[in-house]
Amino acid sequence: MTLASPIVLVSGLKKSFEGPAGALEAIADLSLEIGPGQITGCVGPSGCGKTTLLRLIAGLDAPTKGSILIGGRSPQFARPAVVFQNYALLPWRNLLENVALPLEIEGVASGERHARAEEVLAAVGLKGFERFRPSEVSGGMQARTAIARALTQKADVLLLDEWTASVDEITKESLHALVVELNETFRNCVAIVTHSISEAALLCDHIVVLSQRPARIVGTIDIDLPRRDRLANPDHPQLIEARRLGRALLQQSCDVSQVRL
Amino acid sequence: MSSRLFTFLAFVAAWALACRLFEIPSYLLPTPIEVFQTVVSERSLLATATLVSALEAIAGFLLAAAVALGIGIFVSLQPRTLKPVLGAAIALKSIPVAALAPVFLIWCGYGVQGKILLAAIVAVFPMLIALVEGMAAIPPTDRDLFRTLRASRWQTVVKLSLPRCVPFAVAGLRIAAPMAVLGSLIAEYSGAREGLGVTMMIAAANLNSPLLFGAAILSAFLGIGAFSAIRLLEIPLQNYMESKS
Repeated sequence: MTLASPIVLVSGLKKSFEGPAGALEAIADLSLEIGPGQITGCVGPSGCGKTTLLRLIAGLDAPTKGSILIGGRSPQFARPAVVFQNYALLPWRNLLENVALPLEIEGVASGERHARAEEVLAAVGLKGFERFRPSEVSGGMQARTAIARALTQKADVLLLDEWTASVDEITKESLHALVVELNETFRNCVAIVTHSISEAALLCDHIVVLSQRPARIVGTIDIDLPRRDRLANPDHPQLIEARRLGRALLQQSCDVSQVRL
Repeated sequence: MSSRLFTFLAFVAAWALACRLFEIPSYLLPTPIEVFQTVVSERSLLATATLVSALEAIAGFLLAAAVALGIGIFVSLQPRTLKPVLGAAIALKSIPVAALAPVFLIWCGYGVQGKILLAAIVAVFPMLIALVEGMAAIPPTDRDLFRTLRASRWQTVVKLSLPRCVPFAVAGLRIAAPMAVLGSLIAEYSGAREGLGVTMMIAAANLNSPLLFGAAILSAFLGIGAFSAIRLLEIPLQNYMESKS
């Protein structure tokens, strides 16, 4: 896919890690684009380099080769917001203080940052839970808090790393609806790393299927169906087809003989 | 009756019984009653000695806590200094305290300064190790979060590393508190004007076993008191951390 003005532009990306047994190639050659307001999903077998890709886009690691631009700037300057798999909430802070953390680091005054954090917490459906500690709320509420914290950064790009891996199906559905709603409201572009082809089909405009390590793109799936329609009817023929195609690409990407060994 | 009090009374009863049954001479093992009578008759001397040792231990403990915190912050700001700092701490810890005590006597004389310094040296190591372990146990995603938020090193230390270290630091303080008492007593052994350590030394030289035992028991109470005081501090700190998640 080639977009007129992509927000995220990844070109010729390669990443290897130096280990005791020599260089370990995590990403072989990867290029992708995410446009404004789009949701793109990366799916692939376990250990294929999905999280490495997300860390590179977040500016947490540097590419070995190739480039990543977010709004024309390097990730280190563009400040994409990240929701980590374990949510990385600080247990000694209440939900309000956790959500206000990015503003606190920016140096926003206490009154203003708490007002803004309250606003965002209300937007993710956590009004009334401001004074609760992360250990006192459910996994789904922790996920919402992590999303709220990411939203206070007012970033153009939101990166979600296996963010629904530890919640039940019903909570997962409510989180999917939340991300769709927030994407409509804030128009930020979202990159999701997930194991679940169903989740990717439900939320994403584009699905990028990655091969086993070192990661390459084995195929992309574009879904042209309003997201609210998808949530209302998860068994829409277009979604069934996207899931079938995604699974076929995933099977193709898995080197079964290697797995058996 | 609490189990601690019961254990203490059972110990005292066994001690009294052993003295009577085996007819142990008083200079070898005085009876609990003899010790109690001596503590009462020498209450003024022992109260001053206990107070002096306690103040030395408290001052040493606070100095050690400040030094450990300072080193902990420095190491978090400059992670490359961790190995040399730990190496120096282990080297210091490897020198027997009894060997250091006369050195501090020469440097600082018979006053309390040398005792405070030695108490601090003994107490700093467990605190430092606890802080370093606490920093190593910070979840990598927490650090990643602060990096994505473009937090400065100082912000990361103050808003992440130090609060994350609280449970580890409390464990370190709990071990360090009785050690500070031990450090002050050992320092007094090599020469001091006042204190439980010097009282024990003089009592032993005069074969005044009841006084020696009385001072030793008061030393033990001092150590237990130091340990319990940190336990009291631990509860509000743990509540603050809410680290059960």
